[in-house]
Amino acid sequence: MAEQFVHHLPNKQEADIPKGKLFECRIIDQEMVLPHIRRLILDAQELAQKCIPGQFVHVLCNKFRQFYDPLLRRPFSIHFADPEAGHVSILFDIRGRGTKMLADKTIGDMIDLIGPLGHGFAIPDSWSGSFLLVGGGMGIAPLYFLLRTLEKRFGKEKIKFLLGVKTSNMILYRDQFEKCCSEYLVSTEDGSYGYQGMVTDLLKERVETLDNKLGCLVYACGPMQMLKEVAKICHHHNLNCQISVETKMACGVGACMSCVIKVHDTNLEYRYARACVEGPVFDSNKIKWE
Amino acid sequence: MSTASSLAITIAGIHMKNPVIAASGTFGFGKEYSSLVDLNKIGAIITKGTSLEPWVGNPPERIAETAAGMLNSIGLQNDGIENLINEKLPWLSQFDVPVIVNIVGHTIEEYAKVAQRLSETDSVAGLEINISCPNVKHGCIAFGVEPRMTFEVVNAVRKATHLPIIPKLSPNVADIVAIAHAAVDAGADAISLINTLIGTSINAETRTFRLANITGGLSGPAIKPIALRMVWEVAKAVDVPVIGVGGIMTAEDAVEFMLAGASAIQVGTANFVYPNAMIEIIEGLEAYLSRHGFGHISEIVGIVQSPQC
Ligand SMILES: Cc1cc2nc3c(=O)[nH]c(=O)nc-3n(C[C@H](O)[C@H](O)[C@H](O)COP(=O)(O)OP(=O)(O)OC[C@H]3O[C@@H](n4cnc5c(N)ncnc54)[C@H](O)[C@@H]3O)c2cc1C
Ligand SMILES: Cc1cc2nc3c(=O)[nH]c(=O)nc-3n(C[C@H](O)[C@H](O)[C@H](O)COP(=O)(O)O)c2cc1C
Ligand code: FES
Repeated sequence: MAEQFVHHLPNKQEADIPKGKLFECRIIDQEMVLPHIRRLILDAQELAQKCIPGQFVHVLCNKFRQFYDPLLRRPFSIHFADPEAGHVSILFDIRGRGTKMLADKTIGDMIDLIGPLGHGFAIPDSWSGSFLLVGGGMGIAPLYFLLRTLEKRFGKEKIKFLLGVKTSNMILYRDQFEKCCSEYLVSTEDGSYGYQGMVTDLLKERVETLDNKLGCLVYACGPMQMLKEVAKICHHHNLNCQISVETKMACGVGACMSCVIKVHDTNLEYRYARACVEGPVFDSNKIKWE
Repeated sequence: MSTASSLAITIAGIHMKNPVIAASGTFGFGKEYSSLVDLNKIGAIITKGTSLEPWVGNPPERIAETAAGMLNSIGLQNDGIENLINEKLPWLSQFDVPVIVNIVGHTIEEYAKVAQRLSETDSVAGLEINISCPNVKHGCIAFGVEPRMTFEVVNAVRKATHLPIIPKLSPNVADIVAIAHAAVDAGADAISLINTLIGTSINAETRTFRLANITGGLSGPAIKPIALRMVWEVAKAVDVPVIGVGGIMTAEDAVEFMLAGASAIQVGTANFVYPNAMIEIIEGLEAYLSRHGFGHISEIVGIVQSPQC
């Protein structure tokens, strides 16, 4: 019988709120990963020391504070943090005005951000079982930090990574991911590489073949539809599963109630939980899927 | 002369170190921002709208960004008055900052009960009455859209509490001055204005409304000219202090509201963009006073002049 992982994701509404701080960080590297995807490496000594995988930063994309369009900050997962070097990176897709402005920043520019925010992935102190990471599209952004952390603590042999993308040229940083796990499987929707189909179909197949299902922890990040399917598969097989959700955020610190997601509640039929402070990582069984 | 005293004011009997107040719904219950903002430095905190029983709130999407503003349809999600009293107020009371509770209700009785319950505590400096809530008995129209209903709800709260009361007016009306008069006649000690303006947003690509609730409240710099005009109109018309709110991002914005007649100001959406906004506004107000040779903040209230032709 595998050890039961009683993890510490907060499940109270008044969960202790992670204390983010305001930082001005210098961009020390800027990379065009694909025409519409950028990676920024930031000089962020203090942030790098205290963030954990799954947490995010709330970034002011405008050049000056008094440019009011776009007005609000944008949330981005911490893609990687290197406490020794004092670096933090983010990886993002240029979707609209905010990310377009962010993409225009170059080495030497300063970025105004609040972080680290939110509750990240719960990682057990010791674990004899395995880890299965499932990423969809940009969902790989926080999973890379998680992967490196798990590898460092438990060794690559215990880790499998499943990636789902639309087409083969969306497979980012393949080598870096591959060398941190024992199995790295890709599914493409158009069949241009690896398994043809959705990553959730791939997950279903892999789960069937696991010899110790209870000893497997699943971590996932990607589009909501994918997460819902991952949650269903894990629920069916009784797997412990944590997912990182994306919602629209205004404050990022729990004050405005804009970023909510429907969760089960002991007293009510459901309640709306703030993804920025109770999440963005949730136990998949907590979410009330519609 | 110390700088602290040049900004200190008393509004509706509530003493504040300065006239910069955190607006309801944009600062949570203070705790959310406590690692980013020194709560002891701001004039007052107005908490998120609180009702008798917990309110679940509207389904997401709850926000949409607009040009220099945002729309929200939070639906006044809150944990109810008992939770506020047992969990939030005790934590807030460790700080040296007046706490004003923003109260909401579906019926006049609910407003009165919340007000009465808060009077039994000793950690509340005053009540701000959000009269933009849907009145369930009158087909879900807001209390604050009509002078008669405004009078009734404010009057009921007045009778239920000895605390200072500050009705917060909705700008979604034809004649804001008539509403303000009704609020003062009913016993208001001061008036806050404005709340958000009703708007909507459509995604052309998907041909759907962006908010699940279809409409939401517009806030941010986009609404500043409207808020400023309403503050000016109401401040001239009533003899209680007016607290200006709507799109204030900088000290200069705050000064404009005070010149228009506001005795204090609230900062809302700006907190999301730049948590330090209130602190910078406080510093900027001090700098403005000394730059223009004013001894006290009250000297600039309502002194705007018509342009010389
Ligand atoms: C906790 C969290 C972590 C995130 N981490 C990353 C990350 O590591 N890398 C990354 O590329 N993106 C990430 N996102 C999504 C990112 O915040 C949005 O892509 C970004 O806000 C879009 O800003 P924009 O101004 O370019 O787009 P807008 O002009 O505002 O909108 C353009 C398009 O993006 C969509 N969009 C806007 N906000 C969001 C959002 N919060 N989530 C999803 N779609 C959105 C809009 O619906 C629209 O279709 C994260 C979101 C959250 C909540
Ligand atoms: C997300 C959000 C939630 C709000 N919640 C409340 C509320 O509970 N009660 C209230 O009276 N006003 C509420 N407001 C209105 C603000 O207090 C303020 O009146 C309005 O946002 C205009 O000011 P601003 O432009 O500085 O944000 C809310 C505003 C926002 C943006
Ligand atoms: S973004 Fe404001 S509460 Fe989550």
